[in-house]
Amino acid sequence: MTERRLGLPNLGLGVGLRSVHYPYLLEQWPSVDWFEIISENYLDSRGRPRWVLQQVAERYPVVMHGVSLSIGSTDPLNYDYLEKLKRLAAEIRAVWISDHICWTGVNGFNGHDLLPIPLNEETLKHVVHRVIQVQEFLERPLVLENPSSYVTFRDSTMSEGEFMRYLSTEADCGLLLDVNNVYVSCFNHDQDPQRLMESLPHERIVQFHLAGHTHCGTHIIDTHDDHVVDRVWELYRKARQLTGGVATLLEWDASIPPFEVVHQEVLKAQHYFESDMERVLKSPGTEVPSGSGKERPGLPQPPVFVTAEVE
Amino acid sequence: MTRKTRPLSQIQQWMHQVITHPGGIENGIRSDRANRHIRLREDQLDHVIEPSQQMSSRDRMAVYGNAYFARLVECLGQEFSALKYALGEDAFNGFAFQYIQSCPSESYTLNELGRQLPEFFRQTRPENVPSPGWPDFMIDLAALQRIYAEVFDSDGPENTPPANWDELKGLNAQQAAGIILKPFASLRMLETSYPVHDYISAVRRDESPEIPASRPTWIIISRLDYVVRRRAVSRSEFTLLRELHRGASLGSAIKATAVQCPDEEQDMFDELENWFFRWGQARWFESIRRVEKNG
Repeated sequence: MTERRLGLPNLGLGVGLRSVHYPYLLEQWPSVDWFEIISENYLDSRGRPRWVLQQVAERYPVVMHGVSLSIGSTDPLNYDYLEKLKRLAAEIRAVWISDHICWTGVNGFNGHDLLPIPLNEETLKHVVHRVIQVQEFLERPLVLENPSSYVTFRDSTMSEGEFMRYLSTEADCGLLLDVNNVYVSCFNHDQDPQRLMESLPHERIVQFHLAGHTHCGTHIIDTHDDHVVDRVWELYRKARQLTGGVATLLEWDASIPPFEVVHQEVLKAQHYFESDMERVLKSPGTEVPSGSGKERPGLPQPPVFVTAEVE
Repeated sequence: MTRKTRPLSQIQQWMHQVITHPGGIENGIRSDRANRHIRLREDQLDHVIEPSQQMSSRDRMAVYGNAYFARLVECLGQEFSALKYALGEDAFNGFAFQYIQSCPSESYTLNELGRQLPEFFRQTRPENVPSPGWPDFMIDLAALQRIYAEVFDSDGPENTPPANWDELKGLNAQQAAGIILKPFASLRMLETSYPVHDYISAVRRDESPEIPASRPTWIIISRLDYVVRRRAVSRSEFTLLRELHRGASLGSAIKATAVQCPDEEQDMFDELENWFFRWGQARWFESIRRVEKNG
C-alpha cells in the first residue's frame, strides 16, 4: 500500500545531502530516490552549497528539513526565516518542508538544540495555532518530526502519541516519524516503543527517518554517527506495517562515511521488504556498547555546520 | 478534569536559564534568573523533571546542559580550525566558552555564530603583551578565518560574465579619473601583522606549523569556482584595491596610493598592467564602467 498522505508522495529511499559528499555526487550522480537537505545550511548560501543544491534539485526530488523553526517556542514566529524557507522551497521545488516538534530557544536566543516541550493541553493549543500560521504563510502543509528527548516534564499530561495525534489532526499537518527517535526516547523514558508506534495517527505519517545512535548504558543519545541498530530496523518494519510504507530517509551527520556506505545503509530497508531480514541483521548495525570504539559519547543532533572550502 | 500545569513560557524561560548556565545545571537551578521563573532548590529538580529508572532528574537535564556548550564550541572549532590549532584545544575551548556567554547565538543558522569572534579577541587582548605579539597573531587568524566563511557564502563571480578589461588599455590619467571598477561582494581585504594565510594553509595540510615571525601582510580574499582564494599582495596593490573597493575612481585610487605608498609609487606604475591582468583572471571585479563627467 502506498497511500498518498496530504497529497504527498512516497518518494522511496533517500539520503541526507551533506557537504562531504558533494564531490562524489557531482561526479557520479548516483541512482538515489531522493535527497533531504538541512534547510538552514542553504537559506543564506550564495556559494557552493546553494549551487550544488540547484544541481541536485534538477535531478532528484528534494525535501527541506529544518532545525530552527522552533514551533514550540513562546517567542514570536520568525517571519524573515519563514520567508527564506518559502523562497528556497519554490526555487528547488521542494516536495515538502519539515521540522521538529520542539523549541530551540527563547528571548531571541537560539541554543541550536531540539528541546522538548511539556506535552499538555496548553502546549498543544499553542503549537497547533503556530502550525496553522506557518502553513498559511508557506501555503503548504508542514511536516513535523518527533525529536529524541532526554527528559520528561512533570507538567506533561498526555503521551507523545496522543500529542502527535491531536496536533496533526487539529492543525491538519503531516508527521515525520523518526523511528530511531522513537527508540531513543522510549529507552530514555522507560516506555515501550511498540506501544508508542501503535498509538500514532498512521495516516498522517508522510516520512520516516532512520539513523544511528550512541548507547550510554543509562540512556541513549541520538548522535547520527553510526549504522542503524537492529532494534530500530525491527521498529521500522513495524512502522512500515502500520503505515503501509512512506518515504524513508537515512540521516548520518557525524563521522560521515563515504556516500556509498550511507546509501547502502538506507537500501537495507529494501532488503527488509524483500524478506531478506537475515541479511539486514547480519550487517553492521548491532548496538554499540558504551565506550567501545567511540572516543566519546558524541553530541545529540543537530550540530549542522558547513565549513568553507578554501584553496 | 484537566490537571493544572505550569505555563509553557514559564517552563521554557526556566529551562533556558538552567541549561545555558556556564556553571552547569546545578548552578543554573540555583541561579536567580532560573528562580525568577520556577523557584526550586537543587534537590527539588524532580518537581519539574521526572527521573527515569536509570537516571536522576539532574543527570537527565545535564544531557541538555552539556550539549549546549559542547555543540557550539564544536562548531566554532570547525570554523576557526587554525586558531584552535594555534591556541591548543583546551585554550581554544576556554575562549570559545567565554565567547558563547558573551555573544550567544541569536540566529537560525550556526553560520552566524562566529561573526563576532574576531572582535571578541580584540576586546579581550591582554594589555601586558607587547604588540605585535601572540595575541595579535590569534586576532589575525580569527579575522581571516571568519572572512573565509563569509566569502564562501557571499555573492561571487560564478554566474556573471567577465568584466571587459579592454576598457583599461592605454588609458591616460584624465580617462582613468572616469573609470569605476565595481568589486564582487566576495572580494575582501585584510591587513595583518602576521602571514596568517600561509599558517592556515599549513595547518590544513597537517604540517604542524609554528607561529611565524611578525611580518606586515596584505591579503586579498576572493572566490572563484565556489572555492575561497587568498593572495598576499604588496602594500601599494592592497592600497589601490582598497581605494577602488571604497568606490574611488581608478584615477583617484592611483593618486591616493601614490600618496600613501610613496616608496612603491614607481613599482605601482610599472606593475599596473600586470595587476589588471591578474585581477581579471581572478575575477575580483564585476564590472568596469566609464563615468561621464558633466560640465
